[in-house]
Amino acid sequence: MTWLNGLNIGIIVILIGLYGMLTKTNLIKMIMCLYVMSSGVILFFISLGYVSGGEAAIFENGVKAMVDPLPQAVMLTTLVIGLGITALGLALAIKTYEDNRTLDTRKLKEKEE
Amino acid sequence: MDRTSKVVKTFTRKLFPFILLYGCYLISHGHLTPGGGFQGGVIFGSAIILLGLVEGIRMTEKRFREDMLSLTKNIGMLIFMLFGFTGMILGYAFLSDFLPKGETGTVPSAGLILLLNLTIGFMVGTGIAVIFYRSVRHGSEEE
Amino acid sequence: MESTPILIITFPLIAAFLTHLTKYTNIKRGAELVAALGLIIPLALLITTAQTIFTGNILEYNIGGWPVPLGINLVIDGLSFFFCALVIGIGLLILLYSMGIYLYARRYYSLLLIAFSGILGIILTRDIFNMYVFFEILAVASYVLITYKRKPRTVTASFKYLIISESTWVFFLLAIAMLYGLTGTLNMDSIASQIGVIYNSNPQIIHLIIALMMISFGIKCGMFPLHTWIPDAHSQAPTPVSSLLSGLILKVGIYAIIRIFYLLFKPILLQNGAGLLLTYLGAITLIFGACMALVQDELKKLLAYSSINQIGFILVGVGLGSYVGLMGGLFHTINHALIKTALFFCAGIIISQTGFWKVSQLRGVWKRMPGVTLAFSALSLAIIGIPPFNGFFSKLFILRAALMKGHLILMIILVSGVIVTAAYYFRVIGTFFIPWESKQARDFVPNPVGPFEHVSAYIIAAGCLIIGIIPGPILSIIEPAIRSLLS
Repeated sequence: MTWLNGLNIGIIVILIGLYGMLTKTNLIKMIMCLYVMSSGVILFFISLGYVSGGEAAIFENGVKAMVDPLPQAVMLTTLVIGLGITALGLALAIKTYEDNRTLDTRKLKEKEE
Repeated sequence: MDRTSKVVKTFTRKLFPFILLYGCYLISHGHLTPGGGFQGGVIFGSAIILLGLVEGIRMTEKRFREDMLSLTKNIGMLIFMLFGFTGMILGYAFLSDFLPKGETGTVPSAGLILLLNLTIGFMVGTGIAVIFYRSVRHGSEEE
Repeated sequence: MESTPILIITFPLIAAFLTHLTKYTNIKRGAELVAALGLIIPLALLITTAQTIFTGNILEYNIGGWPVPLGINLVIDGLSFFFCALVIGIGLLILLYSMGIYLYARRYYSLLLIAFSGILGIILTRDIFNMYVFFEILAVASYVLITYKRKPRTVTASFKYLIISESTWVFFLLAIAMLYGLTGTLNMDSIASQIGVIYNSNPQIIHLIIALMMISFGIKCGMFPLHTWIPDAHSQAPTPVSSLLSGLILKVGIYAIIRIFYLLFKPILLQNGAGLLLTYLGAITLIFGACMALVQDELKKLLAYSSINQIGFILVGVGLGSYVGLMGGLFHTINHALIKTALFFCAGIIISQTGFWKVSQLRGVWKRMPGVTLAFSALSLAIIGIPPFNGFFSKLFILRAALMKGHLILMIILVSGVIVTAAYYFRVIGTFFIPWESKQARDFVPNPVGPFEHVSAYIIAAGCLIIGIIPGPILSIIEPAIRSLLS
């Protein structure tokens, strides 16, 4: 099962998130799909740095092969950004519900016109 | 209004300092074990959130006041910049590692990264607690 | 000074966090003073590097002392200098407008300075993931700034902007991941030296990376199918934030497109006509923005669609790739940034004085506010492209570049775009100059508007006339930019 590595699963997760983003109309489901897409990209990027047979990326004496630490550091930053965006999106969704009493984008569009 | 059971309240009150201690352990051993500034900071913030969920927001805010947490967040950022500029004043580049390095495998061996981790940990922890306070009071988030 | 790049980015950031601490001092308007200092010092630092940049050298700085393939480096070259000067100049004008009578809170200034620090970081960095992080800093600051006045429509507009922008920005991260997997480094110069080899062996993945990046940057700068967040976000935001969004954030998307295409993918641009794709998308954007602006009734939405229109012009100029085309595109960037900022300022003054935001209700405004209406008319003439103003020269350069490359259909589209622009701006000016007012306008008690707001609009209007008559100094700043791109 050589196709079951992190790269392929990452792309599948991104596509699942994209499908959810396109078809769901609830605001909170849209934010969750955004987070799923972000997780897919993070999985893809970390799997790029995999060296088969490598140890964890912390330097100890007597370690021969190490996985690439750069994707891990870069993806920590991306996770923090995802946290900030999700928190902001949920706060805006709370505010939208208080003003309009609905979380459905079709009803919000009708209210605008 | 007291809906949480006695077991949960007692357990959380006894466990709260240990969660904070675990957060500080993760922050300070970031270069030896998996962990680091952001991860330990989130545990730090979630300890305060746990206390807020169990005790009620008013009691938690009497002990961990929001303006003090906000002040810690802002001063933390300025201290980060100060660490960066200290390197520049001593002649190296911004955010370069100018402290002496110890032997590998012990805590003081990271040089400047340990101090930066501590700063980031406190900033993230207090930031997440402030986000929690504001969103429970139905305000918008200030990030 | 050799550490200027990092100081230009960190001074606004330090000032942003210092404005929160002015709560504990008793200086009146302390936050605004700190904010102004946070932008004036980088301007002074930038001017000190002008001598080095104009002779063709670049200024490089490695963060942390780590050499280039390992660490992040910041570079000021001709294009970065031009955009930094543009951003800090317009930032000071936006701060001047904000210091008017309406008292903005401390968190407004802190968010504005974080946004400026993000923009300067995007312009100066040469590491592609660093550009991603600074774009996100700018985006989060702008989502919060749009909802500064928490009315229901502003919250919906900001949420729409958030979802559309973030879900496509994830694709930029995917493109960075693919580039890292292919080349093993995240630094733009190192990637650029390896792209040629990779393209010869495996061209499809480079096409995929270019497509993903164009989608992501197209969202930020407003290319045709990706512009749907612009009318809502630009019209619902408070006035200085509208000019920040329309004048600076769209331009920083243009900067990112120029940097990615001319630095990373240069051999592909020259061989296979990726620039032609940009040109045609720019032409479609132009026509679309112009036609949608013709039917708008709300004043700020009309100005937002007009922004989409002018971004189409800039994309045509940049995509053509010749010396004259780039000169026209970059000159139109600075012209449009100045003019659109001032148009939003005038619209803000008019809306707050009369209480109406639809053009059909704003009849006879020129009797009450002759100065502002005259400034609005002068700025609209500038952006249409009437001779003594600066818009004429930039559009002339773009038309000449299209003619020199022989695209006749493109020239017809450009000229018809100018005609439609004239149509909708003259409709607005005509409504302003009708000699009688409606009854509701006479009964409205206006909000007070102080001298700062008027002065900032008049400075830009006068500046446009002066730049139109003497374009020399501005063109001498654009020259090093084009030389560094085309060398």
